[in-house]
Amino acid sequence: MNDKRFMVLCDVTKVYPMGDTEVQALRGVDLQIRAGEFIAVLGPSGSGKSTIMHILGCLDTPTAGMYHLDGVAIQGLNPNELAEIRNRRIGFVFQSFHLLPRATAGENVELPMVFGGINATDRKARAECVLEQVGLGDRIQHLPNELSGGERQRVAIARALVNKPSILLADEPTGNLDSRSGAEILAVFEDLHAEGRTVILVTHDETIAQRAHRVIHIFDGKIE
Amino acid sequence: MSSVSHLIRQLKQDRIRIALTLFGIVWGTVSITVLSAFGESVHRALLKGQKGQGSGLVRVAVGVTSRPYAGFPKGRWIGFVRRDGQLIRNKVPEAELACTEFGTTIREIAWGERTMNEQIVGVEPAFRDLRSCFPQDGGRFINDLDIRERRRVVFLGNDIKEKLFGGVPAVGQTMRIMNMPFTVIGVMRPKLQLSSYYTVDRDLIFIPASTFENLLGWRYVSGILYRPKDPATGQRTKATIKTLLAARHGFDPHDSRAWNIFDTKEIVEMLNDVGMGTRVFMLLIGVLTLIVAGVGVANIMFVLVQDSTHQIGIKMAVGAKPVHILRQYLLEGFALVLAGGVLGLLFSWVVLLLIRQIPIDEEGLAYLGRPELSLATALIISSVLTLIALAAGFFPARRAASVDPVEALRYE
Repeated sequence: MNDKRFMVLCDVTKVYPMGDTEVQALRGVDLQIRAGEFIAVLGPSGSGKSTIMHILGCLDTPTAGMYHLDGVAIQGLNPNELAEIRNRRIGFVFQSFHLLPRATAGENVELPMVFGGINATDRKARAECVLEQVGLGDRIQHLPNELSGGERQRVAIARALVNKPSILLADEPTGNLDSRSGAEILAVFEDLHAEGRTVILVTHDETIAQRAHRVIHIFDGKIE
Repeated sequence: MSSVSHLIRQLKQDRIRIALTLFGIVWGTVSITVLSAFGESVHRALLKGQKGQGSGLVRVAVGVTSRPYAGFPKGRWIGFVRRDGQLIRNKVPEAELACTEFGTTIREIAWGERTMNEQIVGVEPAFRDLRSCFPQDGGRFINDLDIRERRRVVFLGNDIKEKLFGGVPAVGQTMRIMNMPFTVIGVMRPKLQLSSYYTVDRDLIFIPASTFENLLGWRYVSGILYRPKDPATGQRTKATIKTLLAARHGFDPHDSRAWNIFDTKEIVEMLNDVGMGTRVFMLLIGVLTLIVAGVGVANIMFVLVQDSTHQIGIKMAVGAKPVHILRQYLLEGFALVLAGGVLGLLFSWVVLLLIRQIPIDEEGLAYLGRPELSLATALIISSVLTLIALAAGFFPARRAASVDPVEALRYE
């Protein structure tokens, strides 16, 4: 597992059309990540750090360049294969939680298992188990708007973990939280890393980035 | 997470829009159902009304020759007599019933102080079965003895009986026709008759053909009525009878204008065509209405997809494949149309039930008949609804499945 070439970006560029013009989000990024690393991607807003995360997480594909995940060339995959990888190998945690507003905490956590084809009884049991791990065993029936910010982010983490992915991607996970909840969430990430997962934290906050074992600075679509 | 409970929560958000969309589907279903049911019942009523004139009945009337024959010039008037009817009865076994009729002629009739002018016909016993002129309980139709003895007996159409006698039982009473006493032997049982050549049978006064002949001195009958034993070989029966009559009256059996023939079977075939046309037309209107409703469903599904773009992004981020998203919105569209369709069918059933409560004594309503929801109609409507549901769900669902996950996550 300790292969240096677990996640490899090679001269990756990403261009978004924006009206008549184009926006260069990434301008030739090279990056290698070992399995089990705890990495922070640090950069100001607009630097392209979210784009890196989307590409690493198979939500998006590079305009040019190559991305290999565990030996698989991602740029050649179709939407179904990308969905499959997201479902089984990657867990996302977002700044604004991205929970389904009309689904309970339990149902939100069950969601990845629904698309993974796991039957209803197992889904329920596993969702309960994971929510208990993040300390929300008594909040299973609550809707997101009945939970605090920290609790919502823990529901999102439970959802990210429920299919036992090896990679955890977090985009400003503490950005919408007070400092105490933020510290709790970061502690959870450290625990997850200790369990052997590859954790990639995207942030603009230097102090948060310092918690990671390696910090990658990104500015204007390039790694410095 | 069960998609049904999620769907319900989702739909609650857009209650008014959903209600209006549902109404569209319900309305479409009701119109297609009620229209088709009416299409069918009108057809049934027309056929039944046609049977009231006599099912399988053929009427032969006088004509004028259009070809010279056996030394006679063309343009000769051909009349038939009572004996021709008897001849058909005796020599043409393919005709199961045959009789001649005289009339109508308008004459004075009276009972007690009441006097009126009504249409009188002279008929023979077979007329009863040929034209379904069955007597009400306690009466009888004209029989062979009446014919042989030229009895002064009379069988009344049920409306005439009401006009002349009111509530008084008529059978056994003596009434006057052309100032001669006649005994009432029977009153016609009411029947639905929507076509006739003089007037409907309930307005007629029937006396024995022999009595009619004697009293009025008519030589030629107004028509010969018969019914072929087997409707399938009706054309051959017609030819046999024509040859027989042609030989007796000296006209070319291939002269189409030497007689005037009126075949109810042809009328029934025409009615079947009209009925089919009516039904197709009604169905078409209904289907068009449903398509409009389907466009409504597609529209609201597009709105739902638009509104839940962010949620689609979330689902894709956690591993939903395009087919998962497609399936969800197809299902939602389907559920909407299905709910509307079921409600619509139930509502139509109630509407038709209420319509059937209206009494159909009146002539106009008689044409509408009694609309019912037939299995065939229900099946057609169900398949049309299914097709529309698939179409209405598919395009919005396809759009939902093709959104870009990154953009969808940014969408608020």
